[in-house]
Amino acid sequence: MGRKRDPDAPQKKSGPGKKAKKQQPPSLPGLKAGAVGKRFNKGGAVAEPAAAKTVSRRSKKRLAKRLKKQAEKVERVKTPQKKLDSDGEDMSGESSMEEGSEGSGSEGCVTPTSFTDDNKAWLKPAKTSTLPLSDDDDDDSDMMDDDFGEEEGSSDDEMEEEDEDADDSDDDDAEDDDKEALPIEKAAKKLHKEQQRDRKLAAKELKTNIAASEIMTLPNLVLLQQRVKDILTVLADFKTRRKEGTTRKQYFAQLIKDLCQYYDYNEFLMGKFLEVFPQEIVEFLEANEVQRPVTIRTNTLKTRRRDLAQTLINRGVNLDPIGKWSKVGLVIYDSQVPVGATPEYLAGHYMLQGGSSLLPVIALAPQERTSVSSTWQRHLGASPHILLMRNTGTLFANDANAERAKAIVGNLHRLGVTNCIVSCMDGRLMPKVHHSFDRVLLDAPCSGTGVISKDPTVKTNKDQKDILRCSHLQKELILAAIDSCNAKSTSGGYVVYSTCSVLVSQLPALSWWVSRLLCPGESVACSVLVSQSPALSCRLLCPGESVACSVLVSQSPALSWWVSRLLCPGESVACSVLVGQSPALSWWVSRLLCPGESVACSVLVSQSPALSWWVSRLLCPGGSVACSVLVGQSPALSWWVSRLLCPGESVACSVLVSQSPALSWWVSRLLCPGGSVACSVLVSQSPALSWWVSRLLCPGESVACSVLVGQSPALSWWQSPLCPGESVACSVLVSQSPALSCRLLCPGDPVACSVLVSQSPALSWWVSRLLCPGESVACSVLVEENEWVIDYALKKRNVKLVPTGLDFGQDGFIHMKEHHFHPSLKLTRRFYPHTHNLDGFFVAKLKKLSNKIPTVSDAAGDGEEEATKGKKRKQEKGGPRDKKQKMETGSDDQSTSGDDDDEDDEESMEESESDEPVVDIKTKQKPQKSSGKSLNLKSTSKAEKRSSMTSLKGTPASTTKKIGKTPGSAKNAKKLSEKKIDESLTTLKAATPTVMKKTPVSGNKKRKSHDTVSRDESEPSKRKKSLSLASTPSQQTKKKLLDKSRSESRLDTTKEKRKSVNNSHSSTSPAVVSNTIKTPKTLNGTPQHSAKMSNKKRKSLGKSVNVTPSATPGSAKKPAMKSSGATELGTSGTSLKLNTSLNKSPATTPANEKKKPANKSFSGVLSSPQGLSAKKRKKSLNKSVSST
Amino acid sequence: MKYASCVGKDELISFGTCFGKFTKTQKFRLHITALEFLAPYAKYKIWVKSSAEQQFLYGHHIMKSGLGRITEGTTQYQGVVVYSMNDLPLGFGVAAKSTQECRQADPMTIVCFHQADVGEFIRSEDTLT
Repeated sequence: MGRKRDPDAPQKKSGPGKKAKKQQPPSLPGLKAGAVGKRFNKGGAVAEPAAAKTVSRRSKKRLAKRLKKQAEKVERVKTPQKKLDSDGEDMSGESSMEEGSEGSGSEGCVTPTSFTDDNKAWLKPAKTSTLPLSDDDDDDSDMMDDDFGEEEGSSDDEMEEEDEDADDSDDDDAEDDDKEALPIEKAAKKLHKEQQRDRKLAAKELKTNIAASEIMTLPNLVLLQQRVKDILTVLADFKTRRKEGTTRKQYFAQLIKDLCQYYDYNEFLMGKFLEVFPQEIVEFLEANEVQRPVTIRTNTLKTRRRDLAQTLINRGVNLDPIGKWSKVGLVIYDSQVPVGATPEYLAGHYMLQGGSSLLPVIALAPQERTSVSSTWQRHLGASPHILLMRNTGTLFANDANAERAKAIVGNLHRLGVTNCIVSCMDGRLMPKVHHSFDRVLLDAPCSGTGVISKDPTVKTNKDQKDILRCSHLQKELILAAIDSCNAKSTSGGYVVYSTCSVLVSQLPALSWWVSRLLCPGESVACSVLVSQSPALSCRLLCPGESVACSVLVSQSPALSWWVSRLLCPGESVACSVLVGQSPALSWWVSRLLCPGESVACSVLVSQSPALSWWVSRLLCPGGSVACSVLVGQSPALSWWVSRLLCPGESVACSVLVSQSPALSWWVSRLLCPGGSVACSVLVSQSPALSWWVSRLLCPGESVACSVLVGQSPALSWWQSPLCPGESVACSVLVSQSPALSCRLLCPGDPVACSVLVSQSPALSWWVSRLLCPGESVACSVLVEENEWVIDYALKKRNVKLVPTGLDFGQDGFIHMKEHHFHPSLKLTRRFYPHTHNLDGFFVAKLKKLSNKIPTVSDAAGDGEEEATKGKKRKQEKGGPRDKKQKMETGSDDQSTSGDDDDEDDEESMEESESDEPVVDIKTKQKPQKSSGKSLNLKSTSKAEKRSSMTSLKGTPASTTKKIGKTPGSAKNAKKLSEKKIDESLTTLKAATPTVMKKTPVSGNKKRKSHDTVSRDESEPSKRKKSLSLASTPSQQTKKKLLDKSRSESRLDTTKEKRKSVNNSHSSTSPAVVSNTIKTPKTLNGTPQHSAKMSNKKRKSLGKSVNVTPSATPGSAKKPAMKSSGATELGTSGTSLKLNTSLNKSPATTPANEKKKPANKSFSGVLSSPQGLSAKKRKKSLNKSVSST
Repeated sequence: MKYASCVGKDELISFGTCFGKFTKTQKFRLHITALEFLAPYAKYKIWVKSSAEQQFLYGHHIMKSGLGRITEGTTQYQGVVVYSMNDLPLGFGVAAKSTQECRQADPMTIVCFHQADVGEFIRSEDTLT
């Protein structure tokens, strides 16, 4: 009211608006005003922004119309419109007018300030002004409504309508109110209207919903199928058929999408399948849609297949023999009676079994009077293979699932199997219970990707995490299976591994997987699943990456730690730790690191030592920190967090747990350049736990972490990134039961992971990381199910693959994307639904070579031991097949890009022989010609082979410095922690000027120590080189001799190693020796000398070398003597001498170019075992130190 | 069997074969698991017709109408092994009538009480051992 108007303004108009006409003069002004005000507010609020928008065609039209109207109004200016002169209307009208005019702006009405100023003088009478204003107002409101409706456009029809409804209802209400004003009636009417409106809206929504869903489903299956076909044909001959400008990636993406849509898979799984079946994907998927026929297995204890078939046919069952490969299998196509309830079935004449389940038994081929252990994790049906044993021997059936164990009992009794012990425990504990089985059948739990036809839920509910979980479990199980197998058994020592999964990899104690890409587009995936006591899982997910970790510690010494982080903008971290039992603890951390980031942590301790804390945080400038510590019960806990968020920010956290589980936590951090983080967790009492994580986020930052665990499960964790071109070094040393070490070393990202699983709750830790663009992931988690597990077992235990005894099925993969598996994995068998009409299945048969289990004390570094053992064995066997296999492996390994195990060796060797792979091949093939023995010297064991191969090759691995989770690197981590040794090494290093520098020496301590290690490792190689060079001049003319000498010198090194092995495991190695056939003398020699050797070794390498040849009288031949002489020469001399000889060597050999590379490569070969032996020595040193 | 001693009490599900259990009244009740061992040595047998087989396998008694054959000289309440007509042992029973009585019995009279049958392998998987 009282707003002054410009008299000239167009307001002088006339006609009442549509609505104004309808309206009666309100009798309840307050109510009316409120109602109308509401209305206008509504309209205005929407109209304003709408009007602010650019003028559309419609609005232009409207404008024109408006102008026209105004013109008319001007004509009728004088006609009074008393009708509308009510106060309420006026008030509301004015207010709305204001809004309207402001909003539309096109009205031509001037802004309030302008007209007040100008017309102050004469524009006083409120009455006069209200008249036109009210009219104007009505018009405006009309227009506004129109505007609103139209400008909102079709999309907001509902809104408009709603508004109109509201208007109507308001109006009506007003009317009603005038007359009756009974509150109940009012309410009822209102309600009714609301209902109506709701109904209308609902109907509308429904319509739109239907439309939307129809659109969604419209892409029809025919089209999809056609497109899939097209893409596949294009992909089959990509070069010629592709459309210009489209990349293979695009095609693949489309293909995956289509297939997912057509067959209802999730994209992850489809991607996996595409990796495995690039061509036959459609066949595979189709096969998965079809039910596999029921297969039954005849119980040969009770009946014969022919008899059984006859009786079943009599019962109206349509069946056929399953195939030539099985004498007991029958396929049932259809049946009039339930096959699972015939009297024959109940009497145990047959059992229902997937065709694929017959396979592992055939592979296992149990014989009479053998003890067999089988671990079922999936319902394979009960121990059918015992039937082959004719109830002799013993079957030890284990199933982790109690329910299934019961079923097994029922089955066994029904089948009349009497020699079976059924237990229900974790398969990984099997070796503890009994460890001298003749044969072991491991039917590992798997993702079930081979039995999709049985269980279609697999299609959608499996993701990376599940696969990894399975994979880890499988790895542990296979190790347990191997451990429980007796290598010395006369008829056995076989382990058969089978899964009903067709993916390449598939693992519960504890598993940890971390993979990470830090640059844009990178992704991080970590999953840690600890099934048994300390369950732990963590995960990192990709650009706009997010991290989710969950740690589940279930049992008494609950331990959980999880750290994950994303460094680029937009990243988020989520951690959750759930500690299940008595000291139940759960915490959850989420964080956004970019501006506006927030952190949320919650720890919920459920049980007696209840603890909960919650932290939330904003990190951007002016960020705020909120911490709350809630200590519930007896063990009071206090947590304190302080932080500076903008440049120069620091974080300090301390957690003090006062009572029984005393815990102190301290975190400090600088996030901007030059920031530092330091955390230390000290857990003092029984469930001692300490973890420490620190990290540098931007260039120049540093991280220091230390974890000190005081009591029984001592654990220490250490990590430091050394940036710019940051590097991360982590080492986890778990002294007691779960030993763990991991490490990341970068610029140009080298990653070192090592997993040390010491005792029963085996623990494995995987860390992979990409630090800069273009980097590669060392430990990829992307392809893993079957082969991967086997490959893992091959690395970890003294086993080899043997043919499965199945003459059909497809060979296992050797290469799968970035994975390169042991060549002997060809001997495994894969079965696919689409080719064999069986369930997807995988069978591998392993022969255990020795009972010795590489223990933690040796770190996983027992790859060397394995290597030596493998060598030994090969030496002894020297069978033709071995040769062939070796040939195969050699060539394969050369083709593989170094996914090598011993990074340090490789690194040290890289520079020296990065050239001439051709020569390498030559040198490698030569020994085959020359003598079987030299051939045999080559190890079967993977670690050894790979290291030697890579050194031979001078692999491109130098560019992608990867440190696998290998023994060697694990050792390195240890070394790092043990400074003494490093020092001793550094002295060595000081004596010998480094010929090859592999890494830029950084000022940082860690770096240095690492350098020293690597250099030290290169040391022996140098020595060897000099050795070889010294020996070569005389033999350069005869290559064969050279080769022999090499082989002999290798022998020496192996001897040395063996000694160290003997030193640690003097009890077991003789047993191994007894297995050997060919060179008993040499072996006998070693144990005698072993004690002496270990002492001497510490003092001088030369001496040990001297002794070894003497210890190997039988095998040492003439060239061998020469070489040994050479070694004496080389080793006895000072390191200076060595250097000189090394320096000399190029001078001596330049004339003969061919020779030189050969020598080099050969020296490289030598050096790798030598390097290992050096490590061994160090270890023995460590031992002695620790013992003292 | 000695292997079984390696396994913990909680983990061990079964080894060997359970023949039966004593009831509270100190009577021995055979389990179906013993069938395989006892059937070859059974003195008294009852054969059931294939039509009545299913009945028996679902835990019903054997009627006279389902009786195929019976060993001569079976006395009343004699424990018997039940066979199918093609000599498949199906379970244990107790003769409700002697052979003589069976001859004159009404088709619907029970000639053999059900005690255990191979259907129990499935029906009562949990209590086998």
